[in-house]
Amino acid sequence: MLKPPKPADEATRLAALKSLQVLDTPDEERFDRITRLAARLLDVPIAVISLVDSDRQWFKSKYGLDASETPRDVSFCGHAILHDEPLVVTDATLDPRFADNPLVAAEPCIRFYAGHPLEAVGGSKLGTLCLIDRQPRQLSEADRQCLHDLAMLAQQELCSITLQQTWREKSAVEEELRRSHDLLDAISRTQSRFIAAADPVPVFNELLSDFLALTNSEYGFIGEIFYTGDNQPYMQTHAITNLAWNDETRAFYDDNIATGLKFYNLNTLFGRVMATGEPMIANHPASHPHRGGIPEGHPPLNAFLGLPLYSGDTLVGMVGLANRPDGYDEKMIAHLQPMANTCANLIQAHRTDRQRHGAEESLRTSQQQLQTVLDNLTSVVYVKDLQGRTLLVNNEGARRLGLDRQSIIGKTEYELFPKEIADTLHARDKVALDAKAVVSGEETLPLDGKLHTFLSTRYPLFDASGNIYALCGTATDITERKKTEEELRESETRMRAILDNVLDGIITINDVGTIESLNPAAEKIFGYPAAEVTGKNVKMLMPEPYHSGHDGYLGNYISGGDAKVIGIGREVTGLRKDGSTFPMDLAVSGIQLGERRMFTGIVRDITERKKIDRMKNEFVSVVSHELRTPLTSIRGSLGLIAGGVAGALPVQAKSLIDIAHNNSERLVRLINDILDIEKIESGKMAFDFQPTEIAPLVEEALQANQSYAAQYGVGFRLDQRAFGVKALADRDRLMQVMANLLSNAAKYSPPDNVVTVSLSHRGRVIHVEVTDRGPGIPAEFHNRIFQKFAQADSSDTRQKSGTGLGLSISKAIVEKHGGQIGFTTGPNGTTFYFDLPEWKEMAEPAVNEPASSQARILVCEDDTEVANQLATALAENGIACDIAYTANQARRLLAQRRYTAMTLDLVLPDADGTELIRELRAGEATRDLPVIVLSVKPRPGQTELEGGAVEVVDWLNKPFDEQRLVRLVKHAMQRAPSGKPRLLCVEDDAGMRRVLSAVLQNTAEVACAGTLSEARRLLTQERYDLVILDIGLPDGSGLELLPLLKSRADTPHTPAIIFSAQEVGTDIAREVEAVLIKSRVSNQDLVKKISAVIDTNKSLSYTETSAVR
Amino acid sequence: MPILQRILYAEDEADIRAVAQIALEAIGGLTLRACGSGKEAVEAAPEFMPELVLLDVMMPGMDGPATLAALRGIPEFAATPVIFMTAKVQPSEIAAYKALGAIDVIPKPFDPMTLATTIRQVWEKSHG
Repeated sequence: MLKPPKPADEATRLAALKSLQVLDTPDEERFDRITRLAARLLDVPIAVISLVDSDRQWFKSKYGLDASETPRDVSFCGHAILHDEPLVVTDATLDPRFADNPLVAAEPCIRFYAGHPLEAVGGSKLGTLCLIDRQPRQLSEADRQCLHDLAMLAQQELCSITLQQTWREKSAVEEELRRSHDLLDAISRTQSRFIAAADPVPVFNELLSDFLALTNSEYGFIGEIFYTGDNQPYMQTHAITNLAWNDETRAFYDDNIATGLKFYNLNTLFGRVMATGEPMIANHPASHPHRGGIPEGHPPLNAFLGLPLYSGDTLVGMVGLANRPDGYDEKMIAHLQPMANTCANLIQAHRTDRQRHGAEESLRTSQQQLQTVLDNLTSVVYVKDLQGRTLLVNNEGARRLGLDRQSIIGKTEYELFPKEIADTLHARDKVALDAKAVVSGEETLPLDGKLHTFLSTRYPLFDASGNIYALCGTATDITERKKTEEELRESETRMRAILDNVLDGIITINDVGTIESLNPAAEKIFGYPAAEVTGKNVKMLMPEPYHSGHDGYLGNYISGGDAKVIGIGREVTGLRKDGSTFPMDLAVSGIQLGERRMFTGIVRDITERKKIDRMKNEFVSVVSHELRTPLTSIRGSLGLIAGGVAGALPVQAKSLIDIAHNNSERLVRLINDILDIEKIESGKMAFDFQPTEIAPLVEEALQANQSYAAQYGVGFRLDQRAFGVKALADRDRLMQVMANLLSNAAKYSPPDNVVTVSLSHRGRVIHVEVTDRGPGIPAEFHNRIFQKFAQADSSDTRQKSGTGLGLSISKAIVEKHGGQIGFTTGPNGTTFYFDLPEWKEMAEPAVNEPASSQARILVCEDDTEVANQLATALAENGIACDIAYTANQARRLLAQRRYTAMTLDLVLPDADGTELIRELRAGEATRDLPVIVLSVKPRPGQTELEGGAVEVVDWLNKPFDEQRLVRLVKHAMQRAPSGKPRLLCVEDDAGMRRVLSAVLQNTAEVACAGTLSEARRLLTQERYDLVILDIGLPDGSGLELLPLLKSRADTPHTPAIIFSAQEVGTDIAREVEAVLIKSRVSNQDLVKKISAVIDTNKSLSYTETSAVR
Repeated sequence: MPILQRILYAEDEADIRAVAQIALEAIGGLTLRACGSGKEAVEAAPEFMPELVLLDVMMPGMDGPATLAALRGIPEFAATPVIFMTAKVQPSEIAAYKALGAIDVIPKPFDPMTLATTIRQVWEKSHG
């Protein structure tokens, strides 16, 4: 045992101790309170305030100890007063200084000792506040701090004794005591509150109130200090006096108080505390260099104290206090230190709590997530130990077994399955465990009376040292999938059989046009074995121009969904292996196979059908001409005799001649009707739609049919008429409908009766009615009335003398007008009616600028964005334009001013662009207007045209306008070299060839070709300045000649005028200057095209303008 | 407006020619020179000096359009009105004939009782 040596200042020390006159005085609560608190706070059985006298230590206060003194030689405190730092002995039995100390060996059996020196005013160490335990223990940093705090309190108590000497001083001491008392009170209250409370906020609030009360401050805060990502400190309050002084700050306080207000500004009085970690006293804040950060309206700040809060060496928070009437001083800081320390400990505890809480929370969350994932899997998941006992199974596993999860846990496969299944499962488990690797495969298990196929996976689980401790398995029921696969295979076999035996050729291609399969019929049609074409581009089965265009069609379809043949049947030309071409029907459908886009084409060779069609057309032509020629003589002769040219006839002869004459008339009508029907059915009936006023047309029809009605003693009466109403109509065709309805009405009216006609106008519909007083139409005939050769009473044909085709023709005509035809009938008469959509001029469109002689383009485009782009591009090239967003606006603008050309979107909101073109071509002023179609639909021959390889001057329709043709030809010739221009006319119709030659003989030297091959021969032999080209030739399309017209080394390209034979068709390419495909043409190309059209048409339009005016 | 009196007519079908002759002369009161071919009509024209020419389209040898072209080649008949008579009366065909310079097309079979009236109307229209 080491006796405690005497400190160097022993004499002074003893003198100071004596002067306190405290030795051997009675117990005092002010000291006992400290030892009690120390024992409780630091959880030791014994706490003592010991004063070291010359040869003893005397206990001023002792908690948990009976003795009042011990000899100095055996005292621990004698050692403790030698140093400034507390003496801490964690286990006295291990410390050579104390191991054999009697206080260690016997009562009170000290194992742990921690003694903090207590100093007199001059710094002499009088004794200690010491903690004693009978068990070894450690003193944590917080405990050490707590001990220090309490020692300081004890020291102050001791020092205060000195001050008791004078009365004045005494009162100060009492005040100090009171405050210390309050402080201690606050500390103990706070600590017990914190231990009891789950929510720390009220504790901090109370602590703040204590701080304010203890310092007599007006307001303040307690905040925790955090660090931002870039290591800047910031503070979040745990308690703050509500200083809100207006709505805004009140709202701010209310919104943020729950989570704590955050302060980031370091250039404030309290910011300095955060930044430096030092206390801050500012008794004149207004002049303080760090006074920043006080907002307008903030209550006045007269004095400020900022206290940093340390937990160990870590700055964990700060306290800010304001407006103590006397200001703050260093002493105040020292005085508040214990309270500050408590506060720091609270913040630290709060921090630890938060972290622990966070870790638990995240563990719980991840477990929940995992469980949710497992429970929502549609696969079975299980974990078994090495004995096969189930450790874990998910919901699906339990559901499959029809058991709840708990009853599965701990069971082996032998307890869950019949033996033979369990054997299988066990064997498979063993494979995975032996292989120490993932094992997958299909397995079939009988479950709920059915066989189920599972795709199962097993893999061993390894512990940290690499040993297998369990087996994890998953099993997915693939019974349905297997069944589907089976069905699919079967259906594929069936499909294959159909494909192999079907008569139509079936070809599948992928999205870039590569042929993937070809059925036997397709092999036969094209003459290729499948092996020769699969893997090659489908273009090889197409002649020009489709060959070159095909990639474009596919591209367009895939990018824009624009179907040329997709989903609809279409007649195209196929190319056989031997190089011959043939007409075929092609129907293509697109299929989406996962990510892949596939196309299936069904091909039928229609060479035979085309031949029959041609024969039928020829036959109709023969009927038309050959029947009419003799009929002309018959009808003429009979007409003359009946008309009395040969003098008066005997009555009987007269009646026989009349019969013959009437029947020859009927035969003529029949032939005409048959021709009309044939034209309607083949889509060849031409319509010349013009805005037509309907009232005069109806009146004219009445007049024209008056004499016919008179034969039956029937008159017409127009009951109601609507004036000024127009429809877009073909006048002649509509007259035909009126004639049919009027003659029918007359025929079926009783003699001396009146057929009433009315024309009315409801909304945007024009309604025409023809009503007779006849016997009505029998009900059984109602649904056949518009069929061909339909007559109510076939025995009555002589009397009624109709062809039975009239209503069928009328219906087709009305429908072509976009209208409807119908009837109502009863015993007292029948009304036939038809409706036509009204045609209306639109309101005045807005035109940007006054008309000028400058070239001006009309842009007809419903997409405003495209229209504006186009307008901008044109403007940049000095071309003015107006924009029409609808067909009606375009019509109005065209009526108002002359345009050099127009661009046209085929898809317009109020009309089909093709209809508009037809209207323009029919109109006097617009028939020569160059039209550039901006289409999303690619057209045949488009690649040739678009590429600019051949210059197409214009497209002409048959029937053509002679002047227009001559003008075009002359115009095209202007660019030809001087001398007699040579013109090649490619046209299969001999009559038409003659007509063209006659028309053009003065303009040029005309050569003719009737077939494609003849034209080819001529074009390779001779040079022509212009070619007039019919598209429909007996041995192919005229467009096939276009490549021949391309420029060669010695000659420029030969311009062509396309001259189409098809009267009506949706293929409008022949009507326009060029067809440009929206998605494939740049604005520059477009402007170039338009400029070219303007140049070539300039002289044309101006001459025409002057000619018209 | 001059009164229409002299018509040169070409038609290869004798029956039709006969009917037309009665219709125009007996009923219509016109003076008709009926020829059996285009060639005959062209040859007859300078002597007959027709005020109007009526031509069948489909004729062997020189057809209607060729006859018209030949007549136009003779200075006196460069502007004589010509009407085609034909059984081919598709709208496109009618347009083609008009493009050649015919003032109108009369479809076959025609009504002999009104033929002269029809021709007079066309004549009046072309002079109006």
